[in-house]
Formats: sequence, C-alpha cells, structure tokens
Amino acid sequence: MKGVNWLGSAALAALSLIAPVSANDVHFNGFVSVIGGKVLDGREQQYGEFTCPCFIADYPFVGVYSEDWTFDAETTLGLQANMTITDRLSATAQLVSHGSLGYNINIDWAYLSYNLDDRFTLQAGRKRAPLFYYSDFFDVGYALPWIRAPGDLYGWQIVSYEGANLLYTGTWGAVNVTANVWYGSDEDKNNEELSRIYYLAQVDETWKDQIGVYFDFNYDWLTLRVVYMQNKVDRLIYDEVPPRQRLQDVKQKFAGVTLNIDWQNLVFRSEYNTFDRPSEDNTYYASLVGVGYRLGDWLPMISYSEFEEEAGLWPDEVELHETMSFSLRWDFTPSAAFKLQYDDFVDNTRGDWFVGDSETLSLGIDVVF
Amino acid sequence: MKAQTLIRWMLVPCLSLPVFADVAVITHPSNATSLTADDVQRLFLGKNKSFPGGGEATPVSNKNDAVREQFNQVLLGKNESQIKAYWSQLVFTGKGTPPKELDSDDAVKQFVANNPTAIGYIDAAKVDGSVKVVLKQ
Repeated sequence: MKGVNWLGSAALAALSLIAPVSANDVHFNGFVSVIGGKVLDGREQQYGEFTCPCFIADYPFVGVYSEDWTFDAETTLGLQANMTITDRLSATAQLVSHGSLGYNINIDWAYLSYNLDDRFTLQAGRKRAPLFYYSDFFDVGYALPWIRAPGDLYGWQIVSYEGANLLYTGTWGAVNVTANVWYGSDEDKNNEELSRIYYLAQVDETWKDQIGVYFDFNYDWLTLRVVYMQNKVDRLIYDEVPPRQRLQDVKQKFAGVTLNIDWQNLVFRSEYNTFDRPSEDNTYYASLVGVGYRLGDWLPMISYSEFEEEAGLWPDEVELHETMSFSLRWDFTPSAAFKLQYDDFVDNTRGDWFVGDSETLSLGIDVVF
Repeated sequence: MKAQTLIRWMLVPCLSLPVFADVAVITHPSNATSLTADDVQRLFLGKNKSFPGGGEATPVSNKNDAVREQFNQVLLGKNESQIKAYWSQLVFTGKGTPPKELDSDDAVKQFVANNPTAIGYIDAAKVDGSVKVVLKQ
C-alpha cells in the first residue's frame, strides 16, 4: 500500500521529466470526502488499540469509529495529475491522503496508458486492483451512493498491484462492454489492516502473480459484472522471534458477480464474492443487497451486507458479521453531495474474538473537481 | 382571494420553470454518418470512441446550462450530478475522460465547424450552414 516499485517509479519519473516541457497538457482532478461519525451504542471492550464500542468503517486503511466524534476515520483527499504525452500515450499519478493514516500522502496510482486503438488500452504501473465492483474507486466517495462501500465486502488487505493490464471498451449490439485483464504483484510490509485489526503484531503480506479478468456488461438500465482473480499469498507475522512464515505460496481464487439496476427512479445494488484458499480449507463469502429510490436530488437507500468465513481447521473461530445500513445522499449542487448514514453492525464471530456489535452514525460531504 | 388570483398564484411556479430550448446535435458538414439517440449517448458517455461508420469521434460539451440540462436529461437520461458521479468513476480509475467543455453555443459551433471528428450540441436556434444537424430533440 505504501511502497512504489520500479514500474510505478518509472511512470512517476516519466511524469516528472516531461511535466515541465508541456505543462499545458497536464490535467488535474481531485476528490475530497470530509466525513465524521461516532458509535452510538455497542459492545464495550478493548480490542487491540481500539476502545470499543467501535466500528471498522474502512478495513484497508483502518478507519475506525468509537464513542468520541471524529473526522479522521474516513476523511480522504485525492489529487490526480494526468499528462498527455502523445495523442496515444499518457501518464497518470494519484496522491491520496487518508485521515485514518495520519493524513500521510500515498501514491495509490502511478501508471502509463497507451491507446492501441479506439477499443484497447494498454496500461502499466501501480494501480488499485479492480477486484470488487467498487474496489478501484473505493476512495472516491462522490461516486458511491453511500458514505462507503460496505466493510463486510471491502475488507481486503491488499488493494493495489504493480503490473500491467489491457482494457477494452466497446459495444456488442445494444450492450456496452468494458473488460480488463490484469497481472501484477504487491508486497506490503507492515500491512495496516492485518497488523492493526487482525494480528495486533507486524504482518508483511505479499500477493504474488495476481492474474485477473473482469467483464462489465451494461444494457440501458441494467449492469452485470463478473470477475475472476487468482494469486499466491505470502504472510510473515512478527509475533514470535524470529517471525513466523504463516503462509507461503498459498494459492487463492477469487470470483465475484455484481448486478445493478437503475430503472427510472429505482436504484438496486448487489454483489456476491468468494475467496477460496483450498490448501487451507478456508473460504470467505461476502454479499450485498441495497435498494434505493431517487427523489429529485435525494437518494435514500436501505442496504444489507454480510461476511461469512468457513474454515476446516478453525471452525470455532470463524469470522461472521453483517450490517444493515440506512443511508441518504443529497446532491445539493453538482460536484458535491451531502451524506448521512446509520449502520447497525452485528458481530456473530465464533469465539467472540472480534470487534463486537455497534451502531454508528456518520455524515459528511463528498466533492469532486 | 378571487378564484382568478388564486389560479394565477398557482401558475407562478409553472411559469418560473426554465423554458427548454430545442437541442441540436451537430457534426462537421463533411461527416456522412447518421446517428441514433443511442449512438449519441454512447459517444458522450465514452462507451464508444468512434462513429458507428468508423472514424474517431471527439465529443464536446456545452456550458450553456439550459441546453446542457436538456441534452443531459433527454439524450443521456441522467442529471448533472449523476453524470459527474459516472465520470468520476472512470476518471480516477484510468478508464476514460469526459468530453471537453466549451463555454457557449457559439464556441461549440465553431469547434465543430473546424474539426471533422467533432460532435457537439447547441441551441437549435443557433444552427447555421457551418455545421450539420444529425439529431434534434
């Protein structure tokens, strides 16, 4: 999540070298989400560094609410520079600052993009992995109907890769198709999520040889997306001396499907995903269903999401939780939205080792420019 | 209050609604392609980057609010906020960039008249022989 390898560095170097030459071809875009919230009620306990009742709103960047109001858990700022080098080649870098990580600036995206023709684009560098439907624009609150993509699904520790992808955009009859094939790896020393939420000790996590493909089909009011990815996981945990290699080359397979409907004023969002690690006899299921109705500039929604783990080796400690959310989006002006959300999180984890139940209120403003 | 006055008051909100102009979708006169409303939508939402008959397309938006709102609602089927949300999904993930925005009907007309790959939309009353109308709403 923090480091930028050679590919990302190459894209950045290209950006900084050419930037002074043709500064008029550089476009800046950005997004800001200022979000505050507090936990209203829930199970009291000390969970690692968190004083609970607490609610993990953002797993990968460890955005956590407690009973004290905070604007740091989910406030996010992003600035993107896109430079046109030739009419086919461009370089893009995106800097993102998360309140939950002390507003440190991370380079989440740094890549080169080359248009092969009007349908195919080849891209290389550092990017967010497009695993789930909202994964690659997870930080862009304005593009979401809720304050956040639900944590029950969007709880994965590795969100980026360095590598290459081939993107396709075209139409098949009346159907608009976007497809993408990607390959890459990410090594994250002291992974924020695993270290602070799950192991309470430093964890180095590596997802090697990520190879994935998705197809996004859009017909008027209906959108269907299917995705598959597989990779190998290495995990080194520093809770012993010397640190122990908990996972080594463990193969994992991911598959997901999304069905979205925007029919007149009706809004329907759904998603179903599984992660499977056959050698560990360990499978994760995550699902989402949300229904909303547009009333002019207002979008109220009711959403339900769920996370379920199955584990042959630790059946009495599997992680299970679900969230019922009531959210309201108000587009009070183009480019800015006010949001208000109530989340009722129920923790059914076996053995009671996880964060516990919570009810949380959050609100804020999302802006794009 | 007289019934007549009451009716007049009730009509005020209706009368104060913006009066929508007819919108003309325009291309360069040399462009022989004929376009349906779906084709126009795909070009302006970045789902197609070339005209149905082949050939690169360069869509341009219009900052004239009345014309833009009409075009957004009727041809793109979305309001301004929904279009912003749609593009922010693509812009920040490297999947596309929105059409360039030009300041006025005249600026759009001039751009289209001078660029064989261009497609734009303007108030239908502003159309002249320098551009070709492919669709009128």
